[in-house]
Amino acid sequence: MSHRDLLVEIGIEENPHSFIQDAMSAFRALFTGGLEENKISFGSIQEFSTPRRMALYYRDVAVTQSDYIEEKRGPSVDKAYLPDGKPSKALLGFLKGSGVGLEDIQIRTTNNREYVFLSRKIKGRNSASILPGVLDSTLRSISFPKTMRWEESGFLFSRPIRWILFLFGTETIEFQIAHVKSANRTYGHRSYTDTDLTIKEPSAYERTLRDRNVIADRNKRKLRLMQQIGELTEKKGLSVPDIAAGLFDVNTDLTEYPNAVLCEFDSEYLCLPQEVLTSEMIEHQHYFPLTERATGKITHFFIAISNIENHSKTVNGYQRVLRARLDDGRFFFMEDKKNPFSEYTQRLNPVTFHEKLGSMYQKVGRIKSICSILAGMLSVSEETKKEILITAELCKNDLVSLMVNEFPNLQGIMGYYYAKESGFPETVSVGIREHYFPRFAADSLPKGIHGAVVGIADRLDTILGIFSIGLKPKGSKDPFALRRNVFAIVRIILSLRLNFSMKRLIDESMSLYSSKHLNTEEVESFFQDRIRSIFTEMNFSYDEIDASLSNVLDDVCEAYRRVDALHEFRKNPDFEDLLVSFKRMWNIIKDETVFSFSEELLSEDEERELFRYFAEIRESVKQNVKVKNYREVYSILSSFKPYVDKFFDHVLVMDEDPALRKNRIGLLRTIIEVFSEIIDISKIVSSRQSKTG
Amino acid sequence: MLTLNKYIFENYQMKARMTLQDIIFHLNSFWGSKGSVIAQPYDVEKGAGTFNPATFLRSLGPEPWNAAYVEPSRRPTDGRYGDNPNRLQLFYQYQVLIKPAPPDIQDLYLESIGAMGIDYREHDVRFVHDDWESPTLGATGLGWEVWLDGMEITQFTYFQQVGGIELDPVSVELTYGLERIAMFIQNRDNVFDIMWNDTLTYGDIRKREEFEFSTYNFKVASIEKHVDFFNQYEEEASLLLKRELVLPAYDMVMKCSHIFNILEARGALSVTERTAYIQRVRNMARSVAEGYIAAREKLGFPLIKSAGAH
Repeated sequence: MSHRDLLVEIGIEENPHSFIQDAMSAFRALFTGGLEENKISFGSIQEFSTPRRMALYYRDVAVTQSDYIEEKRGPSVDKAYLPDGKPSKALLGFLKGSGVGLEDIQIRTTNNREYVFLSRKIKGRNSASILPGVLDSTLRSISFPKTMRWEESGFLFSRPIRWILFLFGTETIEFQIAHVKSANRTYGHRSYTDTDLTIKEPSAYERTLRDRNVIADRNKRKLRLMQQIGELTEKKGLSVPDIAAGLFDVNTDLTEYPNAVLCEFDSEYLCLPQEVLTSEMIEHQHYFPLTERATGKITHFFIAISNIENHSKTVNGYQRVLRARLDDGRFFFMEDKKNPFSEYTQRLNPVTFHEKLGSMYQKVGRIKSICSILAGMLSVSEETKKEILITAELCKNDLVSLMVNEFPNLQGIMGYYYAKESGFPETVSVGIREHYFPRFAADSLPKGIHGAVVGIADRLDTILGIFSIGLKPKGSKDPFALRRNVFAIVRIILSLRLNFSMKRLIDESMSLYSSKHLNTEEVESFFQDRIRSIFTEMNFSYDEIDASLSNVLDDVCEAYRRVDALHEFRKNPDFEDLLVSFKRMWNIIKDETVFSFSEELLSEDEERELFRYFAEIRESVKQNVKVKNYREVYSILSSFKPYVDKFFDHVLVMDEDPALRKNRIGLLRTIIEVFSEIIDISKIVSSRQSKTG
Repeated sequence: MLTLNKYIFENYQMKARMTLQDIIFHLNSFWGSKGSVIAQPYDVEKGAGTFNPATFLRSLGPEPWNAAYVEPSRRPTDGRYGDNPNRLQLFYQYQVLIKPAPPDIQDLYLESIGAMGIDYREHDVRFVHDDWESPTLGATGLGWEVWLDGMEITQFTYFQQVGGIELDPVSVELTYGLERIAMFIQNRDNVFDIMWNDTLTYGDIRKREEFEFSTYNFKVASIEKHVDFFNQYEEEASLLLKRELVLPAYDMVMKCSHIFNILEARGALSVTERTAYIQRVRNMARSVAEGYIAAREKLGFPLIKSAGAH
């Protein structure tokens, strides 16, 4: 028999659930890579993972390595032979070192030079003798977010390895690591087996474990869990809210034999905000909250995932734990509401924002000042401006509530509820919640102007504050996440299309900080660099960004719209050609300082036509630049193509006659000038260059 | 490999509920039968069983160790004047420390659950990722919180570092929350309703204590004096270390740690001050740890011999 199935299972004490999927793909990639490197052929691969095991099952693994041709380059021919044709010392050394004779070598040409080559067929070794080495280097190379030692060899892994099942056909491959020896044994589910299980051959693995209540295939386990939840919710017209979607994976990786159990809590707790209920269930307990399918409203039902089937004794426990937590939650909520929300601002006094930047109370004061400047620059009504300042005043109040103390991720959300409870307008309450948006890359953005303005002010305060105490980001060090703060500011500006001068906002906010380390230019260039890299991440190319970003801080939103329009038009190959032609124009004229233009001096038809067309559209370009309709400007620019092409085909700019030359340069300058407000042609790189560069 | 402690289990199946003291008796008898020294609580206030020298000091160095004990643990900020059904400023931990960590420690642990009359096969027992860190002790470990039907009943940790020193061999620490386990076994929602023995409840014995200590910790303890106490004990620790009296020096570290907890409960510390106090305790803990290993080495690590003679 030339092929056998191979099974390797690493038995571990419960692997942290968040590590499992990455560890499994590393395990598979490394072990498979090891087989390939050693020229051991195999058929299909199946993987198994539970909290207590990571296993790979290869079908039809070759019993011996494939034979292969070993090739080795020796000395070059001129060094390999003496003038009389006899082998040189170099060649003899090479032969000796490789253990071959003159009959085993050939001469081949590489890099235009002749070399002596050794080429011989190597007989493959037994796979069984190679597999331990493959497993050893695999286990030493899997990386985890955190590793530990547990026995004297000091081997590092995510959790202690307790058994290794290593079967090649019916043969156990001998292997040892961290004082664990391989065997043909595994262990079933703790609650259903007392003893170890012998696996006779790889194909018996999955079934044997299934008989002992372990569903080793992660996908099957997840499917079972989803089906069970589907059945339980279907009957009651309930569904799992999106916010709990991550729990499917978490619970799959926390169990070997998942069983969904429908539980409930006393409906009196439904008086708590929905976010409090779901946080209690999801974060601490990994329970699925359930909502009414029809209305989306939270219900007093929830699903716990058990690792055993019979739940006659477990339900009570799941419910009791949640009840204790909800009791705590209700206590916090009631206590927090005893005082008017506006009174909380004073309590921010003892809360430190940063030792050199004072308390949160002082931060709120600065946020208000920045909001006032920014609101003045945006065209908002007096009424709105007033509300924005109230939002700013209240935005951090919930940090001193008991609830946020318990659930830090409810910051802003509790502020929303408590502000509403105290009678503040909906716009203010929503603004408090939204000023934290976006909290992470894929998060939603503020929808209202209140949250947007306060959010920008809050982040700008952090940036300016941290710069002012000399702690600006350096290299990969950005402990205050200032870069992310700029990212958030930019996203808010773009999403609500806020037109204002960031430069002016920075300048006018500077006075709020002791200026020891604060340098306007430094802050501005920090913003510019960040915006540049944010745009790069948005898949704009470097030259598109360079060409569109002059004076970006005068209006970030418009800079973005310019890049975006350029990027869109560039997808059209004709437009790309035209840009190249414009760039050509630019290259011709960029160093010419002496020029003038007069229509009368146009002598060739093609230049007259180019000018005539330009004169026709000039006003329209200016108008569109003024109303910031960049796409229209680029559309007009596109229409230049035939005229420009003809011009370059027939007209020589650098004419011998200096008057004609100066005039042609003048013409090209005049044309480029009109577009210069939206695009800096000099920065454009032809697409071939920009892709390789 | 896995066998329940049948004797204890069958004995207690009859009994409707195990009292708090029964739980302790049976954990003692279980771990005693597994070779643990049944140690005693240490008579200095502390935040957790980890502070007991039977854990903090014994986990250091090459000597084997195996101990189990109850530890009254003080967390002044968790006090609720006896009004909250789940929070206490003083509670009891059952602590096990074994060095080196035995390969079958998870099975031993599950067996110990059986010793408390809980058949883990009928319940949903889970080892959920939870790494542990004590900034004041300069200690870190990796492990889990053990869930019993969704309730955390034990912290299970493989120590990696103590007193800032990498451990070799590695110890394993099991910390059982006795009140929670009793609430589970006795099906009580309020900690004060736990039966301590057959006639008295936890509340009968401890409720007033919770009220008085909460009042003291939150309102009465003199900030000025505690700042002074801290300085005094810190100074004493440093003098004792110079005299190579490591064990008394460690008493001072525990005292400083508790005083720091009181200052925190009094709301007397700003964020910066807090960090500075933690740093001071950690520095002392590190010096003690280094001094302890040196002292044991001088003695020739005597427990290695006695374990060998075993």
